[in-house]
Amino acid sequence: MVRNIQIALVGLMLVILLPTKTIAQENMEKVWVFLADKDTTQYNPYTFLDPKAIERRQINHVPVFHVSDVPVNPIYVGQIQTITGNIRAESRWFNAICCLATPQQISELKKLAFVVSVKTTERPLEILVSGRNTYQDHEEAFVPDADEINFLNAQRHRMGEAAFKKYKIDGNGVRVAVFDVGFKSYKTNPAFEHIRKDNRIKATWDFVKKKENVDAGGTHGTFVLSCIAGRIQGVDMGLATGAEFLLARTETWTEFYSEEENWLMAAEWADKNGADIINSSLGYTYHRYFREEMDGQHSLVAKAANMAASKGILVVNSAGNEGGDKWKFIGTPADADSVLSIGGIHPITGIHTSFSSFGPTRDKRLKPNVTAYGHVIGSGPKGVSETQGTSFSGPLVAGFAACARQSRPSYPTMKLFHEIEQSADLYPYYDYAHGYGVPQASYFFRTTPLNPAPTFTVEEKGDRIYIRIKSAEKVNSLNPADSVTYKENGRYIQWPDYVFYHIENETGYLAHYWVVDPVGSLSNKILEMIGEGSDSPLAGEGPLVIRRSQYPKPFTLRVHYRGYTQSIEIK
Amino acid sequence: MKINYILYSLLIALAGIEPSFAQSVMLEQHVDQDTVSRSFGRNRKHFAGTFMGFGTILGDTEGDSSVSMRQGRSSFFQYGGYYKLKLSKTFSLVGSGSYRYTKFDLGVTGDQVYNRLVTHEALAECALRTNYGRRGDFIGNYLEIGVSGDYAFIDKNKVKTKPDDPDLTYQTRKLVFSNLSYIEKLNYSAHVRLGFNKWVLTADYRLSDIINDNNTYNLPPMAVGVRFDVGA
Repeated sequence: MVRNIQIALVGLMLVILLPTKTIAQENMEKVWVFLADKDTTQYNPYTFLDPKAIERRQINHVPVFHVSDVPVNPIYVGQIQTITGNIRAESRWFNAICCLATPQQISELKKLAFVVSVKTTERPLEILVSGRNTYQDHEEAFVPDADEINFLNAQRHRMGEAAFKKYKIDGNGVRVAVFDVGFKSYKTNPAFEHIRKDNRIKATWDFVKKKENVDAGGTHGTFVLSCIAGRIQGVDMGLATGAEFLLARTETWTEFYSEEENWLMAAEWADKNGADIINSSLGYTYHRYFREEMDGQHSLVAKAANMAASKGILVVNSAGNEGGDKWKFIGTPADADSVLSIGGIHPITGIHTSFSSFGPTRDKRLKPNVTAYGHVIGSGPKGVSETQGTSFSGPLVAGFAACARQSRPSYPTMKLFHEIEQSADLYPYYDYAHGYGVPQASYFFRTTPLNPAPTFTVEEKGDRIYIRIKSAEKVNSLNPADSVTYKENGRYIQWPDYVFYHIENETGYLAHYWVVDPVGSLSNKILEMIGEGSDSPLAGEGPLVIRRSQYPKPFTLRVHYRGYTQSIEIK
Repeated sequence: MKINYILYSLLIALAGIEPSFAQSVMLEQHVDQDTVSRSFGRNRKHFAGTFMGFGTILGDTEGDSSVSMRQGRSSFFQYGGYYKLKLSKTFSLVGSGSYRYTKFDLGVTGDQVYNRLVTHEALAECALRTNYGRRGDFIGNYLEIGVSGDYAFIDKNKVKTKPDDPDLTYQTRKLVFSNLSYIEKLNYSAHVRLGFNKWVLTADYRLSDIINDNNTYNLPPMAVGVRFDVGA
């Protein structure tokens, strides 16, 4: 008898522990149903698309009428709805419908003449897991203190804001779509008062709840928006304070378990509503994928991002916060070829911040493309506070990109993409931690290309190559424009006085890269000495040593120091 | 004096040489090493990790009604390591070895404070794991069904009494009986595990009798608990 009770208890435990959804939804699977054709007879792009979407297509030489823009055939939607009883999403770009279906319903769907294929997709359990993009909801009022104002200034000045200011560039007329977990308080937050006053939030949509209100879900999006365009007590938080916005809630809780199809739906919605730029501070990594799948081809969200780019939208995506974890590398959609992926730097050390995900992609393409501060001051529902994550590097660059777009209104988007890369302050040098560096506003107003004088010499002696750094005084005299302050109130607004160098193999990807302090001082004195910039007493005395026999030949040694890059081919 | 001068000069010379070959590495990444394909990982061909678990014994004794359990007081603690061999996206084989401490808290009589049977066991388990849902390099959600064998290398009966006798020279007395003849050293069980990534709910059902035929009762066979991965 007792044993019977115990067996019953085991059974009861299993019943309780089994995912209730699995039972409730009768073993339904989430599927994408791909369709054969569309009804184009009723489609008029000039009434369907926002005028800005038309304009964007024209700038990018994308056909205004394209079958991928035509909505899914409503008759097909109706038939699939009849079979499955539900429609989760429709994608006009991929001519597909997402729904939940039982195995029997899937068989029925496959028999429909207009169905090309039915592909199952993941239906994750909705387990709440805290993400890495943590921020602190402090109780501070919306009045930044002196140090927070300094911080705000530094996060803009690092991107050379002054040049945009000089030419009154603030993203005016550029439409930025922001995809996030929610935008709590955006309707009342003082950081967005200037945007609300001008009615520059053009549309909102919650793709999780299927409703218009996005003042819900979470505050992460509020912080993100503030890093693009916030202004608090007259102090700008991002660069695009004059831009227009589309706000989309695509995440259910954290970036890990939310739905990629929401991202796709939001991208199509942003396209239709005339977005010039998408800022997406999300990424999917080991919960769904393997590192070898980070090639920009595997995930739905990477395909969606590339599709958005093909429509002329500049997609800006954070690289990810896995730099210090086992995963280490970028997530998706930051792996997509046409996505501008953004890494994070630390304001105090001046270089890569530990959590920022590294590149390259699995197929060895450069990622992240550029970097910005990964530690910022943002505005949440309760006030301004410091927060961290590449979630905030992305929007800083999205704000920059909006200004770049305003200053280059006629450029096709991929040309603008490359201009942003070229504006970065390590370019043409790059590595997989910093990309091409931090984009600089001054690039967009330069009449003649920079031609920096050499800041180091290369000497070859036997098996060794010596890079001899010129003294700081000499560099300053060679490049007076470069001899400005490294730091502003303790935060770097230029690269520290470090040497960047890498070994590029013959197939064109990096095998090894470094950032070094050539002074060779004790580590606890590094910041202090660099803080004194050109006063470093040992500058000019420290040759860097690289043994040429360490790497299979041929390879390229590329070195960057204070604006000057030199490549040395080793055969 | 001359030697001091030479040493001093040498020190200065060395001090001058040292920084000229130094560089403080602020960041270094060896991409080739980082991008090597792996067969070891949470959802790869091979994976091994350690775990820790604890739980409670459910139910009462069987047989002789004069011997009972004190409900909710019997427990176990387990620590061990496991290896997982991935067979397909859905199925894996899991083997583990562990140490388990089990305490059966029996009902007390008379002046007894407690009466416990304690075993220290070495366990070996094998199981078939069935994973649900698509996942990346991630343990994911799974159901595991398997069998295990354990050997009790230490067994004790601990009894503490508190006689109500003012004439005694002590207040409490603790008796420990070791190497109990009525305990079966070798036992076998069936188990199910329900895993949510690093957290696992466990249910073990002992199929053999832990008390041998010399006694008229047996201990409850059912144990439920929680287990979590400590690390790979």
